[in-house]
Amino acid sequence: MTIATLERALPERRPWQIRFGNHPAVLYAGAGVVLVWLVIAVFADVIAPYEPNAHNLKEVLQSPNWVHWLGTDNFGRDVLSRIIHGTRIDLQMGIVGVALPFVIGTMLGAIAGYFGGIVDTILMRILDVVLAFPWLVLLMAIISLLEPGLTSFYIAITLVAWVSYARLVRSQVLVLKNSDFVVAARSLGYGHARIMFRHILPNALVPSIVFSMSDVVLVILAGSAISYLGLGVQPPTAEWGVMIAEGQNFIFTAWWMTTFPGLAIVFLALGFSLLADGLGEKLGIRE
Amino acid sequence: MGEILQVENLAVEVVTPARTLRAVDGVTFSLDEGEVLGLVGESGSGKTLTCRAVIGLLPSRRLRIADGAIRLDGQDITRLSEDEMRRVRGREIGMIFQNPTSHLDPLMTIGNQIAESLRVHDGLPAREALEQAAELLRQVGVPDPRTRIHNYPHEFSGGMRQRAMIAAALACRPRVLIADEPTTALDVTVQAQILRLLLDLRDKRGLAIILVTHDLGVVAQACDAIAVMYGGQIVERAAKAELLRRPLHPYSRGLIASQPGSAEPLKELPTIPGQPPAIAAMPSGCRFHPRCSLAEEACRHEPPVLTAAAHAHETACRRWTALVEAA
Repeated sequence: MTIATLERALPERRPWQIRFGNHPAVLYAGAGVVLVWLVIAVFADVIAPYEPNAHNLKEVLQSPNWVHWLGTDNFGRDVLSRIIHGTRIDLQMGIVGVALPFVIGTMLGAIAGYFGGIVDTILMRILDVVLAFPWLVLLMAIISLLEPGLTSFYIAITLVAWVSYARLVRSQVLVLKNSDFVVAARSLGYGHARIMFRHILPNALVPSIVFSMSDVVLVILAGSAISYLGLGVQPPTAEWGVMIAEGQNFIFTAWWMTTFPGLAIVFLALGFSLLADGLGEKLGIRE
Repeated sequence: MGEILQVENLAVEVVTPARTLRAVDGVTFSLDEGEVLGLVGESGSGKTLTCRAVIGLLPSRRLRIADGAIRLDGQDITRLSEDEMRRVRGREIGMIFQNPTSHLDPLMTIGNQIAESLRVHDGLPAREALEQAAELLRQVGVPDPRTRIHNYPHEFSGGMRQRAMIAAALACRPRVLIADEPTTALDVTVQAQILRLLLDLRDKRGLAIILVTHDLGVVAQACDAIAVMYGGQIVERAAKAELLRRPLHPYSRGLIASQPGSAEPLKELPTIPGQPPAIAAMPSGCRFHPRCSLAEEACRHEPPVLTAAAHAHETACRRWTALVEAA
């Protein structure tokens, strides 16, 4: 018994798991990268050296140089400035596109898990139907039923992505509603609503919060993929997926038009991935 | 001292698709103000179910109170609606549990967990409730309560967590406390402290306590009266000293004899042969007869009745005279 307790008390430490104080280093790294992107998005107007949509036909398709650090596109627009302004749209896609399904999925999952019975059965069957389709295809199908654009993207991603949160929260609620501290709360005479919102839900949300961080990555990728396909953000708005789509005709003559927006997506995704990893480790959740 | 709680002929049934089984059968006891009643028995003897029935929280939807009454100040609380019962819980009857770690919400501070009950039942504003929580923590012997209310359960030790749970259960001054194996998960030294705390609270508040345990050492330290349960029934009931000195049921006798310390040192500890009965296969007649050396023909068929064998000493064994002679 004592050996088992000891082993649990000393968490296994792998050499690459560097820690600062109480927190894993990846948590700081992820939070740092995300913070940098947030600052870029908020102060885009100040940071960007040029207007993102200012055409300059005298300076088209310039390779990276000291005037245009990341080059210019076929209309002479500054790639760096467009990437900086695109941060606003892509971050917003990631955050809104996760927040909406998070809230809706959590509510439905909590209801299904707590009340069980017929409500649970119906919700779970709907969930099975959504899961039966490849989600990217479903996303595109829903958007094409509506009209291409950011609003349609948010509606579609909500309809597709709520299932992950509903499933996570439901399974947590199922476990927690019979847990000891809920029995103790009931023995103190608390009502259903209080037990659900004050005791079960905060505990049930922990895995969802960790998952949502890596979900941001998926949603940003999906968002730029959808925009690349012409179903999401519409040109001339500066958005990374749109920029890649515009640049692909020039990929052999002007590689910078596609490469740098692509790298931007990679680094934003990396930030959230690290954050998710660090949070998961910190909260003791392994995927 | 007035009688607070009466449990009369309580029966709890397990409803399965195939059949209905009785897990608790004909349990009767009463509890006075300031009395500590020990409910003793092996695992599966129905002591926890009895307690859960009293507070109206049977652990599964398949369980139901099939018969009997639980009277609090003369009012049968088995007939109360869920809303009315909610006001009884925490206010009239409190409960503490075996494992304080898992019975506290890991994401809420200790202070808030104690204060919550005051806010729900007494409608206190948050600040005042938190101040009272600190005072309650002080009363249950947690040092430095003003700082400790801001701690989370994982920052407390096992014994301190049990104290915090007691503080939460007693926040709204219930008159009955059900303590379901409150010391089983704790170190021996901490056990004694918690028992002393409970007795202290009994003396100060006139709290009536049902102490569920399988540990006769705990019973000997803390209880006024003892009810021994076997197979979902009470088989013997008496004052503590009387029962420990002169057990009048072969099962109680076996329990006492199998305590470490009561046998001679270095001798093998006596055990009760056989296994406690499964709920699906209760023996007919006296439920203890397959394990009893004194069993006779009548024990196999006729269900026993709890009868007075001596002053304030009841036993369900029809052969108790033989038991006395054998001793």
